Amino acid sequence: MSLSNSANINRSGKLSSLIKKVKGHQGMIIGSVIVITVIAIALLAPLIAPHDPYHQDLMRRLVPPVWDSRGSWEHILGTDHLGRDYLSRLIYGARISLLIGIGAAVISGIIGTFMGVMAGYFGGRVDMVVTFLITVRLSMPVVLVALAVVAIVGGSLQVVVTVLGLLLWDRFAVVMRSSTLQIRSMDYVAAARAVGCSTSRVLIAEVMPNVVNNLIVITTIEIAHAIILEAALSFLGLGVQPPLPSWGLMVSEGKDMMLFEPWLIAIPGVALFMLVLAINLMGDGARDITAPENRN
Amino acid sequence: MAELMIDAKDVTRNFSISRGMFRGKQQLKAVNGVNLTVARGEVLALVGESGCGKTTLAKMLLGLLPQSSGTVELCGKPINDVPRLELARTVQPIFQDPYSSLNPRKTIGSIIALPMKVQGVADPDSMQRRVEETMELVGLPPRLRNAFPNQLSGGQRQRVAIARALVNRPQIVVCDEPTSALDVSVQSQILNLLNDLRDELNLTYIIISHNLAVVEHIATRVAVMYLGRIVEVADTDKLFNDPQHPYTRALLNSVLTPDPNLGIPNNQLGASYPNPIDPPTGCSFHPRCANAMPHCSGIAPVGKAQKGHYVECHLYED
Amino acid sequence: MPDRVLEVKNLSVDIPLAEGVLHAVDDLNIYVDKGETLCIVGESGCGKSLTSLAIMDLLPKKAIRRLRQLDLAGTSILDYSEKQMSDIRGNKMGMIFQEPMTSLNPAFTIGNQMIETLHRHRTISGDEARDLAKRMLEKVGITAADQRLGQYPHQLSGGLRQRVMIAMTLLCEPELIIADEPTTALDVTIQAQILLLLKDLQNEFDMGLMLITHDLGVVARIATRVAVMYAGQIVEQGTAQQIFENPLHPYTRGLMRCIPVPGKTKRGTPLGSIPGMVPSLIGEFTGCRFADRCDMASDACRQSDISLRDPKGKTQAYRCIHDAKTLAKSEVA
Repeated sequence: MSLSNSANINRSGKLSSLIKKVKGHQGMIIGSVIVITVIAIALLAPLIAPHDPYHQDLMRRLVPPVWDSRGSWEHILGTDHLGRDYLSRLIYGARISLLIGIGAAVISGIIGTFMGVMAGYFGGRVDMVVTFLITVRLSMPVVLVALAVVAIVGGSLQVVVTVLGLLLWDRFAVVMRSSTLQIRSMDYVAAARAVGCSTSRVLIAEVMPNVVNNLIVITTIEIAHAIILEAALSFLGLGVQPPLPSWGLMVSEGKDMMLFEPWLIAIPGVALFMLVLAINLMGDGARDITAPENRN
Repeated sequence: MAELMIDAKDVTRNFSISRGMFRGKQQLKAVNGVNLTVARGEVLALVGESGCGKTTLAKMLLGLLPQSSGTVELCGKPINDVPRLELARTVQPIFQDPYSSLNPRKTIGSIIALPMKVQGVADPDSMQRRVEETMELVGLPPRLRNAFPNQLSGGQRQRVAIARALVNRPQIVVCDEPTSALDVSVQSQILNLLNDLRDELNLTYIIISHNLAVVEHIATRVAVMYLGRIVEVADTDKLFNDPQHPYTRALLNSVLTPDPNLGIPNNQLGASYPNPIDPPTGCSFHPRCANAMPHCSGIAPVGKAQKGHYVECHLYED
Repeated sequence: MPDRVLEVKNLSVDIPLAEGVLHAVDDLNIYVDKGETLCIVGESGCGKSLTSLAIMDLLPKKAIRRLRQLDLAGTSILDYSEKQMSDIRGNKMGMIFQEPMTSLNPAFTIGNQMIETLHRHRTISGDEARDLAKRMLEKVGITAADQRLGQYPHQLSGGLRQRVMIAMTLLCEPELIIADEPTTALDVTIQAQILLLLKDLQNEFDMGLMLITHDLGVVARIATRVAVMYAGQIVEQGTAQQIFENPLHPYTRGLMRCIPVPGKTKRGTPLGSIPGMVPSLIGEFTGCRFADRCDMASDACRQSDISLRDPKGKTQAYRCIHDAKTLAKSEVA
């Protein structure tokens, strides 16, 4: 319907209509609240953690959480097999998960977006090469390759972020390529070229702003993906190394005591689940909100 | 003799089409040996149906697509040698779809100002003045400067596209179906605007259209294309009163004027449509031609011009 | 009373939006008789497509349809369930849309789709169905019909696909065909062929045809009767002769002035135009919807709703407070 109210051009910018759309999307709200809370926790860790996450107290090993009859408010979530406060480790663990998730997503995002946009815009041989590289990458089992690299180079935070960053770019590339292909056929791109814009100007000023929507959605997916992969790697002992409080590592360290002290794996497990769920909800919300059907 | 703005000689453009994994590539001759001149002040219409190559030809005249062979001269210089910025100052396009020709993420003002920014104009005040001037020229209220394309109607968006094309006062404007996507009542406004601007700014137009009624109203000369070749060129009056090529006749015959006393014409073209990848031999129109003669399928006709009326058909060869 | 194939009384379509209720179609009455062609003509946003969707009960979920009467060949289909409607669609009520590529399933062959349509609505053997499909393809002018049956939609040109659509529509010998912009996406020469085909087939099968378009040329050549829509209402209706030779409503007259006609409009002279824009139909609207763009508008035009009136009981009806004589004398069309 083209019955437009052009008589009154509402200057109410895109921000207020964006906020309105967000309000209507429950999943997005829940997801955002959780994610923002976790980020806040991670940032304020030194202020809110009740104890030093690395401090061992062998006299107070395996104290159950406060809701158990033997628990106490001194250690709200209990202690692990080395007497370290679980709540503090959980809080500092958030930092690691977020750092790795965002770090890997940024690295793979840059690589994948660059490759995808180049392939989509230039087509021809560039496209052939990029598609080939994507196929190669997709034939690699990510976890095994990551394990192999870490086994050779040694595990640490930096190594994990780099390895994941260098392995997770495929979805970025695929999505950016198809978005760019779609945008490239738009008349305003042809108009920009006819007006005299150089290729780089066309890419930066005309193409990128219109593919950013999809980029945001994929980024949230890959952040969640990286967090899960890091937890898996750390669980297998080939990710972040002890004594760092990675949630995956916490699950690994607690697995031998699973039957009698279930909270050791339940707490970091639930934390991982909630964070990844929240990020995916945000991503779903971002996708729905920026969908073309919702554009007025 | 009016100044020759565009001189295209034997222009060809091929596309490689892959026919699946095991059949290799085939050549699609989108434009197949076109000769065309455009003089200053003319309104040349390129008329034809799907697959005739008019859009591909227009892109080559805009310098957006290189020729596979042949030359295109812009004001005497080969178009491939004209630097990008000078080309942009000389020839500008107006596209068909007002909904895809404007970047949805930019304001109207910034869309219209882009050509100036690209040319290196730095002074924001003079840019703003020029933008407002041009907006008024095309009938857009300057307060729409800060609006986004999705807030405007189809007609307004087309005006923005026209403003963008004219902000640097080019000499030639290539319009690809400028009004096909618009409502009837808006179409007439845009056509009137294009006519007025042509007089005011001394523009030369190349108009691509399938709407012959619009062409008859606005064009000074018409070139009819079929399967990559120009089969007839003549001044508008001559073409409409005395069409020579059988395809032109069928085309004109098919125009539905709003006369309730006439029925639907039978253009006798048959149901089969040519495949551009596998064109008919000889004269590419012969399978659908009501006047086809035996040798039409074997030999391609040679074009002949008489008093400014060019036609490529065996019927007119002596 | 001639055989009435379609009778629609008091059709309204409302679409609830965030900003309010959009009254897209307002109290519409139309009918189509056997053997005649009704053209609904209007510009974008006038509600013509929604009207056809409402009749076929294919409106989007959000839309609300209100009708007093909806008869197809004498039978009321007003309260038909979805199952009953889907039995009629493609059967007694044929539909042809603008984009044959989206109406034909790209994953199946033409023959497959045609035979499936036949099986859906009739008990018929596979061989008989195939035979019928082949004959129908030949009837719509497709040569080598046997071969075509085995082809996929993407292997055919736009014009051929539209012919296939027409053939599919005719398979079950419908009483009424509703065609929404059937030739808009086609080349000029193909358009003429398809319209000629539709007209010939309509005569042969004695069907009613309701054709929706924005192209006045198409309307003039094919219509028996015309309904001009503007902003959700019919503003003028009559026979094709009446509408084109003596248009009365200022909008119709305005439209006629806008189109270039080879031989009539002089090159170089400006074309007529209709200033302004379609008003917003969200929320309540009183008075003439064309008033803001009409040079004969007065306060009286905006005060109360105007109904269609019919000068001297002839069949040409128009929605305006001025009388026919005054309108006919206003600026020469």
